Amino acid sequence: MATIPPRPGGSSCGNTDGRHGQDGGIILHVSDSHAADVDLARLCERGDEQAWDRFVREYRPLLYRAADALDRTGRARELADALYADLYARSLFKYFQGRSSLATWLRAVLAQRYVDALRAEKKLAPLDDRHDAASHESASSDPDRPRYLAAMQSALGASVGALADRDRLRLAMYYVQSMTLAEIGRLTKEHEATVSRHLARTRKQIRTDVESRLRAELSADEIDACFASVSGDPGEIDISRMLGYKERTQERSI
Amino acid sequence: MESDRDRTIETLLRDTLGRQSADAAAHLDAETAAAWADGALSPDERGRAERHAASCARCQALVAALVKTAPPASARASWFRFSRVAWLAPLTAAAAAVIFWAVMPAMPKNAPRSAAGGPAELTIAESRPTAQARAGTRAAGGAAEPPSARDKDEAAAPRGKNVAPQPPGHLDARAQTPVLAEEVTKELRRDEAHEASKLKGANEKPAEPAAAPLASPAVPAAPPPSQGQSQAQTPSPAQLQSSADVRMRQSVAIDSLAAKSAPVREIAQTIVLSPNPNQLWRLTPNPLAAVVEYSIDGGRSWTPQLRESGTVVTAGASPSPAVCWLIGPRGTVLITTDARTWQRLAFPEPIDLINVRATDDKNATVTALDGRVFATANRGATWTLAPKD
Repeated sequence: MATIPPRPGGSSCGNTDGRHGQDGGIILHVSDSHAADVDLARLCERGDEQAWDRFVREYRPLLYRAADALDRTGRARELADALYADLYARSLFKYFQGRSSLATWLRAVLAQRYVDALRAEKKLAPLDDRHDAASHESASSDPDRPRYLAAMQSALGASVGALADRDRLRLAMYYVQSMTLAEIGRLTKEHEATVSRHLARTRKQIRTDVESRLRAELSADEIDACFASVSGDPGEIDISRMLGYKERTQERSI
Repeated sequence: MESDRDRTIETLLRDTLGRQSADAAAHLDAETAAAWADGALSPDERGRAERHAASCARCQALVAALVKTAPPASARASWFRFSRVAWLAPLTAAAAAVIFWAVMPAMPKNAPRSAAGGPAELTIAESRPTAQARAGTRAAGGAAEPPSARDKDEAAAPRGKNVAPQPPGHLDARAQTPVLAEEVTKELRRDEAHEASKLKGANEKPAEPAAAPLASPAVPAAPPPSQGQSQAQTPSPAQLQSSADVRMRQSVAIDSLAAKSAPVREIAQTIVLSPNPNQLWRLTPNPLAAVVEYSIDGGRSWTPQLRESGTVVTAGASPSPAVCWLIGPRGTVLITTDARTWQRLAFPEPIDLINVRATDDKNATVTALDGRVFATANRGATWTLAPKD
């Protein structure tokens, strides 16, 4: 446990597990290993040259390695340089509270800036354009396709929306983020075999649930045609609205 | 039918889950994400973080990026476990040295490496035309040989070096540390000194290994074997010389590429060579980065060509300068026919693909993780499962 002096401006996180001590400082539950990191960050924040030298020696290579792991075109390196400049200006250290190691926190800040920069660009195009073109093509060739797409969107959205949060997280990490089973397991504190088993179970559950929901409005032949129609070309199916609405009502506290 | 529908569901999940967006004000901050990655969140906090990330593409990407930048597991290994076996290291090294010196003299210096697995196959299993011809032979004859022993032999490391075998036609930057590439190149140069007069300039300029070979015109192509030619047939001396020439040039190019990637070689990247040595594709298995980059100057500079969240490509084949096939996990098959734009091709199963061979923009053979070989003769419009040997 380490006592940290109050920080001007506070943190943007708003999720500390600390409480105010008698002297107005915040008492954080910091493990011994992270306490050393917090000390180093505080010293750097105050402008201690020796601490800064140590930080540069130990953490700058780590930052660059993380940047290279994200992107080898040099863009992540630029972000790492900008982050390094912010750290040098001491404006960032105050946000490190010791809830993780300093190394992990640095990687997280870099990852956050990188992801935000990517999302801001919102680019990619050749593949998407072709994909969209293909969608419209197939849409126009099958008169029943709009109906099938609507039915599938409704069934799939309801089915995925009904999943447990962790099941949905595993699916997204696996299918969207292309994380390995081991990486997912590290996040969910599960063995990779367990992650694999849960993924298989969830996939089957979704398929069964979707079939059952489709049966309410389509015949058996139409269900076959529906699957065939969306297979390989999901068109405009987008379940984000349903899921987003659900999350907006529940997740303001994070 | 169930499996077809399962595949459809998987495709839909992949395409739709990525569009999720939750309330921006509720996004995970770096502190929370870092604590999550370090396992420092309380169960309640972790539950909330999971609940949010389950429906937020941005925070999924953040967490994925954080995990991807984690140092390799070996760096986090317990010192205790290491200290218990550390004394074995010098002993093992000494034993390896003894074995190495005992075996070395028995090896013929100019043995035909293409048959037994020589140094050149460390990085490129064989010259590309031969690989393509074999792929074509397989496609035409229907005789599939998924991850065959021959392929493995061809990709084997030289003289016991511990390097993972690679499919022909592409390189794994992990296996190409500058030191290793230099060793391979030196070995080639020593063993084939009588052939190296043509490349003397390149040999005398180790500091600029890419300049001469990569600036040279297209790599000379070994004549493809005839339809009925046995794959195990020993190549003629002329073929060997031509093949060695190609390998020599390619290994120098690899040397240069490995040197360029030296600072960041922890990342597995794959270089796909086209018949034009100046035109290369570089694949990064990172869903957050540019997954495909293109170079028209032999790897001196790279242009991001394809960046799509969730797309991972791991191997490729370029039968002609404008055409490149790429494959990846879960049935990912991409193709470009103009060296600029990419098209995703439908694949019958969402299975991980590990190898691709192509003869042109229509004919390709793809090997799946389970050893099955799929072939197409119409640019992925239909795929046929090649019968196993």
